[in-house]
Amino acid sequence: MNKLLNIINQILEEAGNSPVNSLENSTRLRDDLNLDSLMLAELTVIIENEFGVDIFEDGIVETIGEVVSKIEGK
Amino acid sequence: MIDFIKLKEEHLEQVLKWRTKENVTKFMFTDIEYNLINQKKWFEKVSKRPTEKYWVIAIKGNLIGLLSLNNLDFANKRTSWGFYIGDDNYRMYGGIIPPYLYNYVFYHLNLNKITVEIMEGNHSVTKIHKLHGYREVGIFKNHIFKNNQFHDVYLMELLKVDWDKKSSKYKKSVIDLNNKSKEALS
Repeated sequence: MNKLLNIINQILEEAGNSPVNSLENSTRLRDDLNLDSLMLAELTVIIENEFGVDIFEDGIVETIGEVVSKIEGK
Repeated sequence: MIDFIKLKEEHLEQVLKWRTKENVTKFMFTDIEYNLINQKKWFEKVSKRPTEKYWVIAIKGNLIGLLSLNNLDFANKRTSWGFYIGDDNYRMYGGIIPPYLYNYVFYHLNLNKITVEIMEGNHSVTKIHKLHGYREVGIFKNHIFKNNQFHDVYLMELLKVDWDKKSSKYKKSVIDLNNKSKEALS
């Protein structure tokens, strides 16, 4: 989760948004983190590079918990 | 899952609602009035053109936006394209849709280039395109007259050779040609 937190904060800061202190499984990408289309596209690429996982392989993801599940291969 | 569904008359009312929303129309080259009769005339016209293909984008069965290939040119192996997300609940997914189209355009239609024209101010889309390997070609200055002022238009292109370098990250972004999209994409 720490690695994912760093990735999320990197994206948020590049977009000029404030970083977050922590992530919960229930944290919503849009409503809680305010990710827009560019930021989500960047997140997809970074996670693919870092973890070798396409988080949208089986459909959309909406929460951090769903992202973590994809990374962990659940 | 993401599907491209061939645009049909039954979609026109929904598409017209999206197309006349401020969030969508602000970056379109033209504004249209909410007129379903005109929308049907437009649909009849573009449906007859072999150089145009229109699909409704669906995520998990929910219709969320429109995507098109325009000026399809098989002789020169290129096309231009455009898309918008009409359902605000899915706007954040705008950046994950294009790779599905690129894989289709480059590895199914076997085209060599895809081009896009972007209204000034649409910074997110410009950045998403750069993320996917586009290069900036140039700027048409004062190219669109809308809302009583001229607007610049940014030209970008993505070559197959450049998508080849990116596509390993998006190899799973493939429309299922064995489902209902097959009709649309064939």
